[in-house]
Amino acid sequence: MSGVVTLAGVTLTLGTRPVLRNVSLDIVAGEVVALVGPNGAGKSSLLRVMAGLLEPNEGDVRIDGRRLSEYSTAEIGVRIAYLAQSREVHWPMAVGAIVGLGRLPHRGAGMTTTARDDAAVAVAMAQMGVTELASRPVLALSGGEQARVLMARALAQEPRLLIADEPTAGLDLAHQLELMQVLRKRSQTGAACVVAMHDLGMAARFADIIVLLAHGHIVASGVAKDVLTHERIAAVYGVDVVVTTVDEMPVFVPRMIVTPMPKS
Amino acid sequence: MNSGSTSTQTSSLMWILCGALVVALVLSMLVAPGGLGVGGDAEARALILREVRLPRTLLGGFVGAALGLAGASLQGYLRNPLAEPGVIGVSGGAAFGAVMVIHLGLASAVPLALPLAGLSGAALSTILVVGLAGVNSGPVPLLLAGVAVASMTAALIALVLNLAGNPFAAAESVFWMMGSLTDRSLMQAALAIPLMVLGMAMLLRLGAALDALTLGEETAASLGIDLVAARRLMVAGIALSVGAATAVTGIIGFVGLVVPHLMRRFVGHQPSRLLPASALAGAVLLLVADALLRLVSPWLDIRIGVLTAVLGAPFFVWLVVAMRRELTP
Repeated sequence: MSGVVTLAGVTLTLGTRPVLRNVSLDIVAGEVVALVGPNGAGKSSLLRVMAGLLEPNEGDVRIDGRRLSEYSTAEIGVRIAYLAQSREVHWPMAVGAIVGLGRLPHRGAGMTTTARDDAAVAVAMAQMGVTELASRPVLALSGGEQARVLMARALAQEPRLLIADEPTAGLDLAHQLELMQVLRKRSQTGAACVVAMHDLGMAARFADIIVLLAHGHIVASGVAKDVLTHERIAAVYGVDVVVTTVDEMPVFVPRMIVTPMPKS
Repeated sequence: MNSGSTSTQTSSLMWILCGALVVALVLSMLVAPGGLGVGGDAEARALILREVRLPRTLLGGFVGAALGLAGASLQGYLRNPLAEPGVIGVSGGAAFGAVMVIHLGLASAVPLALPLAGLSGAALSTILVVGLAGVNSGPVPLLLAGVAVASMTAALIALVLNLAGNPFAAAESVFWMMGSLTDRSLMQAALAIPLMVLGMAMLLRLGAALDALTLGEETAASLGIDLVAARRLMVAGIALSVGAATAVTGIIGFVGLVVPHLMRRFVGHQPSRLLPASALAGAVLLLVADALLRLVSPWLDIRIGVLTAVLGAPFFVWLVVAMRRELTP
């Protein structure tokens, strides 16, 4: 099966700093992929390259077999939803209107919303549990609530590829679980989801594939139990982590720092 | 369902604004200095209506709409509620062009010299701002370049006024800059209105882009918005509408700043809803303000730019107080 998104030999340099080195990755429909790695490993940059927001210096990015650079901005908007790590909202618009922005790529400028748009917005808001907040101004909400509203905006886009940069950060336990379950549900309907995250336990539980990134290159990728081993985590994070399972769920308990943070 | 009540509210507000605009247009045609009506015999009346009132009414409506719309667009693009059309340097450029022509004594000698010089000044300052900011840059370089060019034109205007040998020329420049709809000819209106209409048509197309920019530039780009094209459209739209408005009427401040704020109270903060509402409200506001000025003119000769500043500044102070109350828990 060919990938929704395929990267081959992607190299990215920002200024003089090498950010991604020879990254190759194939993500197929129906998969949830978790991107893990220390701060500054290149996770956000890799997500931006996949979203078409950064152009790699070398290598090839394809969406459904076609080069990303051959798509127009509007075509990308219909296929790829991107949830940024910075949760920027500049005007106190109503929650419903913010989620509705996810439908922008599906309609031409100035066109009114269709029943299909309304349905997609309603489903996304229900999935993120923000339906009751619909008429509230978004900036009056708590940080976690805003994060869920913005995730609902990305879901409303009904993308083929959903890219989310630390969507669980700042969410309470219930909403973290809910969000990961929503991603699973979306992937079952044929979407591919790529999520950068720091919680290794959540990543191991809910992602089909774990991609471990360090210094801009992929250290390992595959199923959690092969990728997130004690030795590899120690080598990449410089932390001695107890890797165990509780009720068949993977658990990672950081014990102590074993090497000082390596400089990139 | 997601925003149904607000959109009904918005559409009823649009009808109210359209009604108010019709009333304001009729009022503007009927108000005479110190009262209502048109004096003289049938021929004189037709002449007054056509040559005096019509250009004034048309310019009042279009200039008000251009300033309100430009203010709402720029605030949306910069995501800054304090932005007004002057910050990107267009009106300063237009004013400098006009002041130069007055200084050189061409204003009264050559018909249309004043508005044409204003237009050239606006065009030049826009080219300068875009050149300085870089063609594909984001809002911050544009804002910085605009402020730089605006301060440059302000300095040049001060220099020209300072060097004016004839105090009457200096006074004429100062009065021109205060902004006025008085004694504008149909020819001036015919020169400026098509440019303002073109500029406003460009700005009205920005709704989706400005809505998406609410979530930041990266997210807007991921929502399929071509940010470079949107910025070009906005700069060209503001240059045409505000440049043409300033070239014919002088600097009319505060309309572009205050009208979008006023409309947010009724239509909410979504930029696409704010654009048409600000255009209509800007037109109504300027027409009514101008009609009021005419009523009091036999006793008190105030320029419209001065009135909008005198009314706009306290309104803005009130807004700051209201906003502070909202922001502090």
